[in-house]
Amino acid sequence: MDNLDIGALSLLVMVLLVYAGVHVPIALGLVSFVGVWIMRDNPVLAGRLLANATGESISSYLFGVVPLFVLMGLVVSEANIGKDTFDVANRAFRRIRGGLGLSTVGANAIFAAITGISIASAAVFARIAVPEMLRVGHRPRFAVGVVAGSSVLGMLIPPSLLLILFAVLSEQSVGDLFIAGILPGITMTIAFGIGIWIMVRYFPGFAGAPRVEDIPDQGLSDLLIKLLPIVALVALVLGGIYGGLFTPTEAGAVGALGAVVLALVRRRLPWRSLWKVTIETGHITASICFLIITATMYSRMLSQSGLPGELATWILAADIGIYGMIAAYVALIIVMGTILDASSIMLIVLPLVIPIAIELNIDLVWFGIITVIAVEIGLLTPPLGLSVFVIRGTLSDTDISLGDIFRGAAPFALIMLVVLVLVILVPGLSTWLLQFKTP
Amino acid sequence: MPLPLPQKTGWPPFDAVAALVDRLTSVMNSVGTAWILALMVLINTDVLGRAAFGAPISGVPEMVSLSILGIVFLQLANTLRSGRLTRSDALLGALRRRLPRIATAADALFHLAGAGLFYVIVTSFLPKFERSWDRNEFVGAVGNFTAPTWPINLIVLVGAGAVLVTFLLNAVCLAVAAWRGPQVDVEVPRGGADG
Repeated sequence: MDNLDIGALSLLVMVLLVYAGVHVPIALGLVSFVGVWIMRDNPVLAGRLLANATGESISSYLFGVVPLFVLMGLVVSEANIGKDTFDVANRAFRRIRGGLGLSTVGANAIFAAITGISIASAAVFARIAVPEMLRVGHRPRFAVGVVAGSSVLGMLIPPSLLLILFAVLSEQSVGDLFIAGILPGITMTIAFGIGIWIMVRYFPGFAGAPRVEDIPDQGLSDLLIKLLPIVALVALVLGGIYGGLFTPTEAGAVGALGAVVLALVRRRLPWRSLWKVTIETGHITASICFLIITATMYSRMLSQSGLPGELATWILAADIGIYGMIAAYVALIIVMGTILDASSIMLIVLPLVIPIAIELNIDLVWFGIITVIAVEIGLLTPPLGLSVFVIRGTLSDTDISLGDIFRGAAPFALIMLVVLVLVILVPGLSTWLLQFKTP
Repeated sequence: MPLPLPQKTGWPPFDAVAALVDRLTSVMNSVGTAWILALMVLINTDVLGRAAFGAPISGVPEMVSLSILGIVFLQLANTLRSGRLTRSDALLGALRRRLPRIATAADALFHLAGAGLFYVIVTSFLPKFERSWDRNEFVGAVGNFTAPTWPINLIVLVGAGAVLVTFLLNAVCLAVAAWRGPQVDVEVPRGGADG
């Protein structure tokens, strides 16, 4: 067996182990260890590779962003700031039939700009938006579908944990990826809005027949009080990165502290809850960072086997072109997304694919946005859809089954696919804003 | 859906040790939690100092990069024990509905595999720690800011050791549960860690 065979075999074994249910980082680490051991015929050398990856791969200033943005996202979820955005959006769309669906999408988009995790959005809006939509007469499937669909905006609109992860794995700037996510995020928001309008108007069997309610006017000042702090937080974090004022790590720290202060001032975050969400932050950080450590082991093992280079040569020779390669890549990710979660897919696939993308001269920032959208489609597809599980776990209404949520989310997964094609065909959607960035 | 993770075997001496390990890892977890908050305050102080007084704190990037490694390894064992380490449980969960004892036995084996990986990590990382201790290695630039790396390497070593022990304890608890059949004492929910 030569090194290439070992590389290919390790890939197969690793996928099998992960599907069987071995913890993803354990599968990555073990396969890397055994792979290098066989290739070099030396277990000590293989162990040293693990030790080096452990000490080196996350010990960098950049990784400060992970706990800080996660903390920020969890604090704003805990402090009920999602409800504020929902109230504001409701006022904007209240006279339109199906306006509540639009409000949910709009509120999610705003909320996504202060949180970086889809599951936070899914949990928050399952609690506040689903009961409202059911009350005005939407069908349950539609109501949960809107929440499941729009929750993916959390990962596309910066700050976003998946964009950070991609930046780390592809050695691109986190700030660039954040900025690149803005226009596709807005496009996705508009596409969801159009989709909802069509569903309400032409498919009442699916969407139900919502009543238009004349909600009494809330005072404008009341709305401003709700909206201003959120806008300030978004401006601080994204404006800071965009204007070159903060590094992404600093923006994370400023945003997290801003969220904590905002929540404490509004008396919506008891100290005990702050401690609780920080522990949660730690668990998410530890599991993500350990995944990154083991993905580093795995990508070093792969590069020793020479497999990525060989694959790149092969793809270049096959002459399927950039678009052929991207189509195959997206299909692969969506298939994996049926059973694996977002970060695992990226960690398994990217060490293999990034060298190929570089070989084909693909803009990695654009490629990152494509990756994140494709991976996020997986959050909505059965049998394993993380967002869907979170929504099921949050709903108190037990009549809505997992199957209902998956079916309700299906049209939104389809809309995401359309947006994904758009992002692939129009690279400027991702890269256009970058030229105005202050270096 | 989440797989159950039994936390007891019903054999008092073992359960007492497991409880003690749990206490230790949750103390480590709390230290890591406080560290995250401290990191947030530190970076904000630096930003404010730079913007308002033109006086940044020196060495913040070095402190952040060392901190993150420390935080992760302080919290990893507790993350594992709370069932939050990333895994795909779709197939194992399906197996569990039909053949619960076989699924639990397989799960025990998977945790044993985790212990195996961490045994390699601990033994391979030990020389790294010893070197940083013997040679007094540091990060940063002399004259500006320097910090020794051995304390962080020690945390990595201890943290990885704690994960190794936790994997072993989980494997034993699961093996006992598989042996006894489906009457699990204490269950904790688990879920994915991201999304």
